[in-house]
Amino acid sequence: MQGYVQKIIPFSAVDGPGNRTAVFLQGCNFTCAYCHNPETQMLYDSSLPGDGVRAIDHRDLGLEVLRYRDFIQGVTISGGECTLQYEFLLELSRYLQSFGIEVFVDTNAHLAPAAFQLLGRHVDKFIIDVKASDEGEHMALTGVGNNLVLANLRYALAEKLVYEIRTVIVPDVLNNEQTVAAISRLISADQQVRYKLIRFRPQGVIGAYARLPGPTDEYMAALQRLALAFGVKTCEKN
Amino acid sequence: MSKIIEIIKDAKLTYHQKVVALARAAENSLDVLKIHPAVEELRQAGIICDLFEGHAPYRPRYVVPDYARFMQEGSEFLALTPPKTLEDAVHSLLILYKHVPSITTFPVYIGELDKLLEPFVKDDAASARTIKHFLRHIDRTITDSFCHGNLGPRDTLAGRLLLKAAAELQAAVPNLTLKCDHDTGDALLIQAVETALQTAKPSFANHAMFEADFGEDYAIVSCYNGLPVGGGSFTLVRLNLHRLALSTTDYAQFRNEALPQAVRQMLLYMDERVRFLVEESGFFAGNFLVVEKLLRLERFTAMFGVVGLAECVNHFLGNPTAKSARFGHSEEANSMGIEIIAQLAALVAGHTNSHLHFSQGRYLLHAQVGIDTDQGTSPGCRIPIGDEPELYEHIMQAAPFHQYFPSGIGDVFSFDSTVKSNPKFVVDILKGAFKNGLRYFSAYSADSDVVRITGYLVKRSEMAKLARDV
Repeated sequence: MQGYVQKIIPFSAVDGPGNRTAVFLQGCNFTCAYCHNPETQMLYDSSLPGDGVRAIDHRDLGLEVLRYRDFIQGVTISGGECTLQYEFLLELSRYLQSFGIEVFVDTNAHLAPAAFQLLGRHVDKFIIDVKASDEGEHMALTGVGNNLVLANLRYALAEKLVYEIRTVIVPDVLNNEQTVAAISRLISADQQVRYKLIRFRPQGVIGAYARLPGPTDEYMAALQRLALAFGVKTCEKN
Repeated sequence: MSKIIEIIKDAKLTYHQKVVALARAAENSLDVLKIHPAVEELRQAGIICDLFEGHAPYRPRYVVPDYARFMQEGSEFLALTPPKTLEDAVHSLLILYKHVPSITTFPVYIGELDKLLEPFVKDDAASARTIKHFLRHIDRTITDSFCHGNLGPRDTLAGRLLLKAAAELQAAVPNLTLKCDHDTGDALLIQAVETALQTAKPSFANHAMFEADFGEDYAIVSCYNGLPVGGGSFTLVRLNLHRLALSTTDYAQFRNEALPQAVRQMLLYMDERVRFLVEESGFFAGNFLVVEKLLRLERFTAMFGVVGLAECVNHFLGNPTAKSARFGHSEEANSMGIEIIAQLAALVAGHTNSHLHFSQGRYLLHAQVGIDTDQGTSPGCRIPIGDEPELYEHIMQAAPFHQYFPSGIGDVFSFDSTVKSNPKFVVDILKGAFKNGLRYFSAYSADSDVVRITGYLVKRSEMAKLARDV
């Protein structure tokens, strides 16, 4: 099965627990106004210039990753949005798991619930990005609604398939308190699930949000306190 | 005599530093070693260097006392009975440290601290306070970054308290090493990594690898030297492969003539140093550490040091401008490095000295970390600073060299401070490195005050102060 890979980071400290090889697949179905990696958004098309994207068989990619197996706790497959290459993702994950490798998938969870649930049977955990809890806000930010995201998130939480949920904090524009409160309420039932609040950084952003300020330390700390107050056990901010 | 008066009037030296410098000047006024002119020529050219050991060795360079025996037996010479409480234990050790010789007067090894203190510690504030005082006392009285304590491989309460105190104190001394094996638990490894990211210690030793070379009773001393407990190393002299390469016409001449000759001369020079120390200096006849069996002659060996492999290899490849063609990156360069070290190891193993009881007459190889005047010559087999590849490639490049150096080799890895929130990241890398044959691993965070310089620790704040004062 052939897929399109944007890049591989052999040793990553920020894509799940321990040291992980992070595999970034090409293509995204969201056009987030704060995206730092717009080059990963476009679905690969052989008529387009390469831009670093590699076409690779899932077994070859797997073997590349297995070089690092002595050094890693697991692999995190991310993007772009890796579920856009659904069949490839499924094959790659199964292939890695057959070697005893722990596989995490970092996703926006915007896919059909049946497909998400099947994927859930072939990965160890999900890292799920929740951009906004409000449907309209989500639409304005990403170009699509969040019904699927929230449905899949509830399923994954119920099945104990979530390692971490992530939300990017953008002051003034987004209702961050509402999203943090809604997600924290969902997480609080499971003390194992971590919530990571990511500071919006305007540097490198192309598009509407390029001139917006990032959140202050105080604001990030206040949102962290809010999450903890809702009963989240581990809330990290960067 | 002008040297003596210079020392006396030097405003930068402390009283103790003056006493040490005066003793060294006195020793160096002697001419008791029989040094062959060919050796003297190599010494003058900086190809062989005895690293300030002095002209008349009167104590082994690296003394590794059997502190466990001291704790069981006490010491007649020091009029100390075996300790019964934590207070007794730390005071006994602090007393003994002041009587352990070295070329700087400061001990390079202060024991397996967790094992020594474990029988006496309790999980209470008093034990934690005593251990913190103990480490602070060491930092303020043993003013030498080469002073080294050991921990592990088992998890102990004493070990936890020592790591906690080290993190709180942020002191350069003592250096610490955690011995690690398969059974060292993740909880201890994570605490050790968290400590290292705060204060550049402990470093991590591949216990299985050292145990295979030395048996269970070994210690990591000074920078990262593996040596037998209850003995140590008579001497450390080093060969500068970079300078040796510069003195040759080509690689063939280097391998066929220059390297065998330089190794031969250096071994004869080391033999002479060992002879004087063992047969003439009287150390092994009279020192109380020997009399009380905290040191035994049969537990001694000696270390053959080497620096500048990277520059040596790059020289023979014509000093390539492309990084991809240099040592650390190109297959050809790395293979040449292994070829040189394998030849060196065979040459050194082909020579015996009957005083090196512990190592069946053989000198042990040591990848030396360098001295302050080594501009443009990298420590041991290390890749030059700034030339290092990505972490995975770096570890896989370094590991094959580590098997040749039982008495010490190590690589230093700097981590971004973001790693502090995921210490398991470093633990995973450490385990992978050891599984792939790395002997010794040092980690520090780029934003720490205590930082690692090749093989020892300094405080960034103190270096800045020194730079302002000069």
